[in-house]
Amino acid sequence: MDLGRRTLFKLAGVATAGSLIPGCQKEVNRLVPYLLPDEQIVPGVANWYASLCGECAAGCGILVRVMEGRAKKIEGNPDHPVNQGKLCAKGQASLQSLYNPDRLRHPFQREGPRGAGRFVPLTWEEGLQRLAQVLLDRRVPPMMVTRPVSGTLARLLSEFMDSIGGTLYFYAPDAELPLHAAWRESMGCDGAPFYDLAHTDYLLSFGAPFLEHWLSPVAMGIAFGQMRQGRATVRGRYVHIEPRMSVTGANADQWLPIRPGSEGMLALGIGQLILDAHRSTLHGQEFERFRRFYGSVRLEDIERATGLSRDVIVRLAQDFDAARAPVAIGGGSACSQTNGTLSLIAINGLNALASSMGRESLAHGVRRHDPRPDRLIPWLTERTVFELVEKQDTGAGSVLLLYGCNPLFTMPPSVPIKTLFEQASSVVSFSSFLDESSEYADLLLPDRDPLESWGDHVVENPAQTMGLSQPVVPPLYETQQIGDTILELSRRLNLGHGQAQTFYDLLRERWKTVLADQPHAKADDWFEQVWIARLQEGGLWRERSRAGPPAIFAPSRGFEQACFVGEEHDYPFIFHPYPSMLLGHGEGANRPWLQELPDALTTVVWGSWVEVNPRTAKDLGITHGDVVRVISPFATLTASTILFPGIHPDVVAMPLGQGHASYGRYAKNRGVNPAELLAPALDSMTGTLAAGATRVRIERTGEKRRLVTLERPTMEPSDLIAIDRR
Amino acid sequence: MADDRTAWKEMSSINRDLLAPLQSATPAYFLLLIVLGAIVALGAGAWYYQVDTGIGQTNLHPPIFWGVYIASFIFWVGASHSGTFISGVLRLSKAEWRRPVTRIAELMTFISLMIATLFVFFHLGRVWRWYYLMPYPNQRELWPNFRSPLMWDAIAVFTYATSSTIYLYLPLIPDFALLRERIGGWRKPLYRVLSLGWTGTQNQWQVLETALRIITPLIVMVMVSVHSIVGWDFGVSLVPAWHSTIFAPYFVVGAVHSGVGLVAIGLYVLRKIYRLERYIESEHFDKIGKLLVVTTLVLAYLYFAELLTIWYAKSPDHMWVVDALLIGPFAVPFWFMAICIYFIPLATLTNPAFRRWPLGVMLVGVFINIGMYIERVLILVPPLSYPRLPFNWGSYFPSWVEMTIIVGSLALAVLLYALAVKFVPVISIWEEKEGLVHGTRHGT
Amino acid sequence: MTDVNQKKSHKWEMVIDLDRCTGCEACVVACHAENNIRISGEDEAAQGRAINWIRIERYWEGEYPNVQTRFMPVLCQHCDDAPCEPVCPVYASYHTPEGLNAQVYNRCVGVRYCGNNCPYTARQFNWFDPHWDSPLEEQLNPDVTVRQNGIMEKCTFCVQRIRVGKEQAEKEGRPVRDGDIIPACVQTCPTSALVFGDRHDPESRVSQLARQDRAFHLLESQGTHPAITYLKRIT
Ligand SMILES: Nc1nc2c(c(=O)[nH]1)N[C@H]1C(S)=C(S)[C@@H](COP(=O)(O)OP(=O)(O)OC[C@H]3O[C@@H](n4cnc5c(=O)[nH]c(N)nc54)[C@H](O)[C@@H]3O)O[C@H]1N2
Ligand SMILES: Nc1nc2c(c(=O)[nH]1)N[C@H]1C(S)=C(S)[C@@H](COP(=O)(O)OP(=O)(O)OC[C@H]3O[C@@H](n4cnc5c(=O)[nH]c(N)nc54)[C@H](O)[C@@H]3O)O[C@H]1N2
Ligand code: SF4
Ligand code: SF4
Ligand code: SF4
Ligand code: SF4
Ligand code: SF4
Repeated sequence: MDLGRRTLFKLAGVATAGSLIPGCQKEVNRLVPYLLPDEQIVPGVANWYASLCGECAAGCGILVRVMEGRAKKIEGNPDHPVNQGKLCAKGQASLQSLYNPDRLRHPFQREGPRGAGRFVPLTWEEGLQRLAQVLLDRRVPPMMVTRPVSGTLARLLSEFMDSIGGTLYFYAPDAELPLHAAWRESMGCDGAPFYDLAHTDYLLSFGAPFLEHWLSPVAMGIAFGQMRQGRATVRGRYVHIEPRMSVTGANADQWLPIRPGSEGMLALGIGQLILDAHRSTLHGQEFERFRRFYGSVRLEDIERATGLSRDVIVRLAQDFDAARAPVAIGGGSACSQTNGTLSLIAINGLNALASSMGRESLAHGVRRHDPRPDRLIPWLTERTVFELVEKQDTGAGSVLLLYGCNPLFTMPPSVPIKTLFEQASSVVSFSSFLDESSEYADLLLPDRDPLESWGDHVVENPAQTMGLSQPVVPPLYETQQIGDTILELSRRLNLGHGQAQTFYDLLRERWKTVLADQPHAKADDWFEQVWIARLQEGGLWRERSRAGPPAIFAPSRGFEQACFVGEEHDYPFIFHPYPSMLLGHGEGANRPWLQELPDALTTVVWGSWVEVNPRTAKDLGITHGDVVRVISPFATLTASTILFPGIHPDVVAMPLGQGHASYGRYAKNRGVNPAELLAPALDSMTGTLAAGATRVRIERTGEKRRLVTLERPTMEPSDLIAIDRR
Repeated sequence: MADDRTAWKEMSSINRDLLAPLQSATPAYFLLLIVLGAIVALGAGAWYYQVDTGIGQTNLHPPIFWGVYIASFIFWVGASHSGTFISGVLRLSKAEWRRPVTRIAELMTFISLMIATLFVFFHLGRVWRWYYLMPYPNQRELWPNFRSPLMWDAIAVFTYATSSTIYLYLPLIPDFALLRERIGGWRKPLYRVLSLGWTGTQNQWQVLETALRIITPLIVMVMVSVHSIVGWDFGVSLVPAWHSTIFAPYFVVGAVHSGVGLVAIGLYVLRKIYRLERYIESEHFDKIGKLLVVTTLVLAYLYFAELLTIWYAKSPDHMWVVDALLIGPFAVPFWFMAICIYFIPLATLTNPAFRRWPLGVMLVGVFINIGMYIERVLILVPPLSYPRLPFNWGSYFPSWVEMTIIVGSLALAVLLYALAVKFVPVISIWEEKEGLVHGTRHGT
Repeated sequence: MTDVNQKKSHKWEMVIDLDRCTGCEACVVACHAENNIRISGEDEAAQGRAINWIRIERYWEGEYPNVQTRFMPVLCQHCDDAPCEPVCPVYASYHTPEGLNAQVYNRCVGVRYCGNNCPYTARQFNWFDPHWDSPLEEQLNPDVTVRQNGIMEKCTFCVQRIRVGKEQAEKEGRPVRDGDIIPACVQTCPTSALVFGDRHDPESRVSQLARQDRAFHLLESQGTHPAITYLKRIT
């Protein structure tokens, strides 16, 4: 990292301590800094503030370039162990969350019927008053659904919900619950999974989209670069197996198409072949456990189910076996099935097998982060939704507090999440944008943008990273950080947390206790110094502690086949919805930069599409750009066809992320939301949605619609001269 | 001697016939002016709209940065070759039959060049910065880049415009003098100035003859150079299927092809309207027809030579373009173009009887010019549509703004010609008389 | 200006390792954020006018099931013999002493010859004035001019960062060090597929990488002598 930069954000640290603490309390909408003299703001001189990217759970460290009170550019924090100075496209685009024209600028309350989307402005005083009242009037325990937060905020929210006798649920459509569940079973430890891709010489991925949105994409990207060209002598080989070629799979040395849901079986086959190859040498009841699990299916059945020939499977087994430091990872399509967790157990078991055969083990368990050591924070899985709706009597619904997630958009309508909202006696949203779920709320108390907020984020990685985020610009609007809102609320309801006036104080308290165990000066103001140092660096991280406990393969149940919803003869195709690398599950759809960023494989911008294998398309008599009807047992969508060379002929794929009915000018009424098609099929073990378990059929509409791609500019109808590439 | 006398009688009829257009104007004429004026106004409106909102009102986009504006520029510069070629080359070769044709052609040159220049401005992304293209002293000492073929263009077209204006003007002087005497009203003082005190003394005649003898070969050379340079705009570039040595000769011949075609149209129309059958005879159309056969054959030969070399080399990035033209997306316009500029002229004009049929020759001229316009567009668009990185292939069709501006400028050309006819004799009166004298003297 | 930089001239070049690039497109957004690249919107994009100074070209190879994908980041190659330069009638496209192909926006009259003559289709044009829905414009980088209607633009190698880097070195009275100057796209690239530096410094990372035997230039046959060296992808 260059020194020039370092000096810059040294200055930033002081800036933080000096100006921004009052700065973020400042009255809002002062965006002509020249008019309010501020020693930190020199025209034409940039300050760099260390903070955290709030766009996904990876918690990358960022440096924000701030000039004259405006955030100009975000770059990775080179000292941060997760992203080492790098950022993904979403992280780069997060400035368009801060400066998004469609942000909620002050509290609102609903006018007219729920969901009508009509709101009238409120002052914060009124807003907080109303919320307090709502909670006082509660008859059944309230519930709060948030994106998975960590650190101080997680503890605050959880304790607050306890103190009002309610429940805090985490919900994220991309939470890798099956992975964590499978990890416990296959690695026998309660740690969080960490795959050291940088040092592998053979990477076997069963659909894990690790370069797009799996665990920690930037960290994975860095590791991938290392794996390929970072070592003098070794170039890691990489084989990727999935029904539809993802951007990640596109980077594999070999990409193998497979029938959805059979990834686990393939893993069984590979394990079986490896165990057979070493029958003579591998003894002990440890290997018995492996044999029992991996021997449970016959190779012929595996061939039939996966559609892969025996030679291919044997080859995979041999390569994995021959590797010095092999890694098998599973995710994406593999875990979005009814047997998702079980498949991942079979896949992760291969790592356990390899390490117990003396191969270098690159799949470690790292210490889990529990914001409440005393208790686990439950997840709002689709199964939970069914249960909640079951036991909730429609008479008195609970108060529903909503933060940082949009379940009404991301969960399929076939899951009764809507009912949960309807039954709720009152819905309160802290979201910064008017998305589908907030539109259904009675009260909107908009949170601040991450770049205007204090916070911390604990990353489950070997370095046990605790990132710190600080406000880098004065708040643009009359918004309030959810932490402060909650503290204010508990004061109004007289529920403790008394000592902490603001969330900032709470954060400092927590960090004081954390930093106290660190070596530090004895002076009374030791904390101030250490605190500023932490802010400058962007958090606290220890030396990488490698290797978790040795793997103990102890699957609690045998393998199961995946099952699909819909009769095969009515619905011949398996539907494969995948999160867009750029728009994710829809959260990125209101960022013009991301909308205009071409999808890496189809180069589509600003829209939705359906991916069909060229052969299949030929049989159906459809070509590029034809609008087709995608029909599942639950709904019908129409979108333009893309002939996609890298997809299994029996599979039809659509990207998630578009199809918003709300969520601002850039996202609204653009494309379609494939989640609408999905059946309420659940992963048998974790109860999360099995998004890949719905069957569909497709019909031609005969119509053509504009499909905007970067690769081949689509011309207006007046164009007589069409381009066709031979 | 009797011949002599009749000849001298005819002199007066020449004056009468050839001055008639300048003296009378029918309501139909004014109606024509109004219609043309309206279309020109539409075009001007479209241009204003384009400048006001942005050059994006065209359908241009990467990789196709040049479209019908440049095509039109090439076409009109080409059209301008009519006058210089017909009158210049024919003057040089002392062809007697040129006499009634030269003025009509020279007027076309003059007007075509004005229109061509307009298209440079239509094309500019920031037309309000057009003067950056001018070499003018400035404190930043910034000069235009004379390595740029576009600067060669600017210079060539400017030279061509000035020289062909002079070339049009010189033979007009004696006629202006005649008009000064014969026409009253508001035009008289103008004619007085323009005729530069011409009284027709022996001395003046000698000076005029000498001037013409000097400038005629020069203008022919300028003519050749101008379209060579326009051709080099493409030839010197790196674009597949542009980068070729054949472009300069090819452009010149193409220009003459369309230019002569245009003359055929002009001759026919004026002959019909102003009853000039006695001056413009079917013999003239026969001669024009023969010229067109020659230009057709030469052009076809050059076209063949170019396609053959590309096809034989089979270098992919060039072949993408050739395939697109012959059998690909551009095949329809390409073959229509070929029919218009090659097959139709050859099928008809090789027949002597047809060549003496004025209407027929005029129609061929129309086909040739339609064909040549398409040809200019096809020189531009297909090569630009297939850049070397196939990821960026594109396509293009003009927008309504572009089309309106094109139609508007065509109307402007016709309008200017219609006005010119009321100001100068479309046939050089003194040259007609001179011809008559020669005729009688040498007893043709 | 009697500083070390004057004594030692620079030649800014880039290396792109196709064996690392994953097509994640972080570089593209980084470039938009750094260089005030307009938001074109769907209609402009539909006309093929969306502006990207760096784009990830994707090429398919083979047929199902043996499909291979290739990602290739393409930006202005800053050709030593740049075809876009001689054709510009007003010197708006010109070569800097440090090997950059510079674009003087306020000189460009928009005749677009350079765009035709760039073999890499790197040059992009402003067909209309740009627009940002307020307050998105608050993000605009004050070091970079916002381009108006009728002007050609393209990758500048983040010339504003090169200036800052050199000025910083000047202030500290030392030569510019390898890694001092990092363009936005290079800075963010997770896999470090992009490397930028001074080819006059034989020890710079960019020089070392460019000497690898995987090295090649895009459309080498055109003789443009690009300042960008690609490293072949293995498989
Ligand atoms: N990045 C970048 N930096 C630049 C330039 C650039 O192009 N790019 N341009 C440079 C140039 S040319 C200039 S002139 C400078 C301009 O830079 P500044 O001189 O900073 O110009 P402003 O910021 O417009 O005005 C300074 C302050 O004067 C306040 N002000 C306005 N009216 C009055 C008044 O009546 N009385 C008082 N007391 N204050 C008033 C304004 O609110 C503002 O806070 O910037 C220079 N810096
Ligand atoms: N809205 C608004 N208008 C203003 C002002 C303001 O603050 N706001 N300030 C006023 C003041 S004080 C001033 S001085 C003027 C300044 O107004 P301008 O003189 O227009 O200043 P800029 O727009 O900064 O720069 C003009 C152009 O010069 C280009 N340029 C940059 N470097 C070079 C170079 O080395 N050579 C060449 N040839 N061109 C270069 C830039 O890309 C830009 O396109 O604006 C005045 N008008
Ligand atoms: S992976 Fe991307 S979105 Fe997630 S935190 Fe890192 S930079 Fe932000
Ligand atoms: S950021 Fe790096 S890896 Fe990602 S697309 Fe750009 S060059 Fe490739
Ligand atoms: S890549 Fe294109 S724009 Fe860049 S220097 Fe070369 S020719 Fe010019
Ligand atoms: S568009 Fe601008 S830069 Fe390109 S050639 Fe024309 S004037 Fe020069
Ligand atoms: S070097 Fe700078 S300008 Fe060029 S593509 Fe990268 S970020 Fe954009």
